[in-house]
Amino acid sequence: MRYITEDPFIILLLSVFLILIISFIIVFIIFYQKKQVTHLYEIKTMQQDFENNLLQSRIETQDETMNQLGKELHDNIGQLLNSAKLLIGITQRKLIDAPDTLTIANETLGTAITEMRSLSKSLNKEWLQQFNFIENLETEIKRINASESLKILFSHEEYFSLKTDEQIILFRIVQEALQNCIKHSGAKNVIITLKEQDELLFVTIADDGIGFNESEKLNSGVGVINMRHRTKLLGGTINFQSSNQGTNIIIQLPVKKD
Amino acid sequence: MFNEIIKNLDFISPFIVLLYAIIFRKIKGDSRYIFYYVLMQAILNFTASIIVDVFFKTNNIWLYQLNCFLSFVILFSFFKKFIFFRVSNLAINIFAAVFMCFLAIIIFFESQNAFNSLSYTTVSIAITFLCLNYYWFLISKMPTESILKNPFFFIVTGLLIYYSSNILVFASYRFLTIEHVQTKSFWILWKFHNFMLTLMCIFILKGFTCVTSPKTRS
Repeated sequence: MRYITEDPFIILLLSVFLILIISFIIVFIIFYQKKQVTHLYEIKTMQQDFENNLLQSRIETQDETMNQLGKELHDNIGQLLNSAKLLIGITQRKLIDAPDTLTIANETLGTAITEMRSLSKSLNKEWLQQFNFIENLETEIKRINASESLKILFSHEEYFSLKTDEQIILFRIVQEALQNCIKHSGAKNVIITLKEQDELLFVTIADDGIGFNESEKLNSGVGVINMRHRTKLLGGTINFQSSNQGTNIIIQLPVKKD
Repeated sequence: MFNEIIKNLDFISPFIVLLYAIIFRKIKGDSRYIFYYVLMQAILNFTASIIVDVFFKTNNIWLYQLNCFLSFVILFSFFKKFIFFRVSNLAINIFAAVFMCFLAIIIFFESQNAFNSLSYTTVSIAITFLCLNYYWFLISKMPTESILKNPFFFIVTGLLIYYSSNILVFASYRFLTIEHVQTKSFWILWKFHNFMLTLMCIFILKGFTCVTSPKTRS
């Protein structure tokens, strides 16, 4: 040690050699960590793709089922109801003094056929693809408003940038929310708003129903789970805000302007 | 002039880092330890220079002894949470306490008339080991973001470069100051030390730039 330390330049040289070793370790750490980050990113992307594909196929299956149900309603049950209406009409004409109950039954059947037709339309995929989200939703709102169980107000902008297949998914989310309102909330009024701001689309569905508590939210049913999945598939977020004065569902979706 | 600057780099560089940390409010979380370390370096190195250059006294060794001991205490406090061994906190604290006692004994028995090579070398080896242990800690855990966004990576890299490159300088400095004090050829080593200290300060500065300030935190 004494001989080495006698010459400061040798110490300097050895120190530089130490720096080189340390530099090598630092570069190795940087590259190793970079590789790890890239690897993790790839795994995350693969997982995301897998989840999206799974969701996509689930939704496609569900849409296909709904489509099939719509067709069945229209072609099978619709035909049976039409035949029943026709038979009632024939019976009415044959009877000289037809009872009022028969007339009421005929009218009720007519209403049922109209209702069923619009329902089967809203379930039909081909029909959905022909129109845009706003037109489809307005038709759906008209159908629900006609039943007078709920009054829905819809305010929206003239145009919003969402692809057709994405519009169908959004339509299903809103449809599910409205179904929940009718079935569980006991609401009398619903306000739906659609607003696009800074490449984000905001859809809010607010009702004046009884709301739901946290445990109900945690043990949410298939409908709510589907709403979450569909929103995730669109790359957006969905928030449920509830109190005893009603529920507010806020959907936030990214949109790309052309 | 240039020689004067190089000679005084050991307190100029830490002062620049301190100024940056204070102005841009980077003293938060674990980076506080590094701030205290740089503050201690700046004050003690400045005082050591003043003692020699202004008051013309030759013995400022006690300041370097203090510097050596405090450096280990502060840096160990910083590294403590990154120690990557399957041992309890109590065991780490006991080991640190024993090491500090050992260091104090070395300093106490070292000559007061020449540079405290033994204690400085011991501390340099210990800190180099702690820095490498931090790297091991980094590559062992799952990364969440790039290492180049981590302020502590730059800080530890600076410390590692400074302490590892100066192990031999510290080890030989005592002997050289005694043997070559007339020829002053050993001054090249002190210039090298100051250059490496400046490099460490640059890395610490870079580390501080990565620390999120309260204003910019989202």
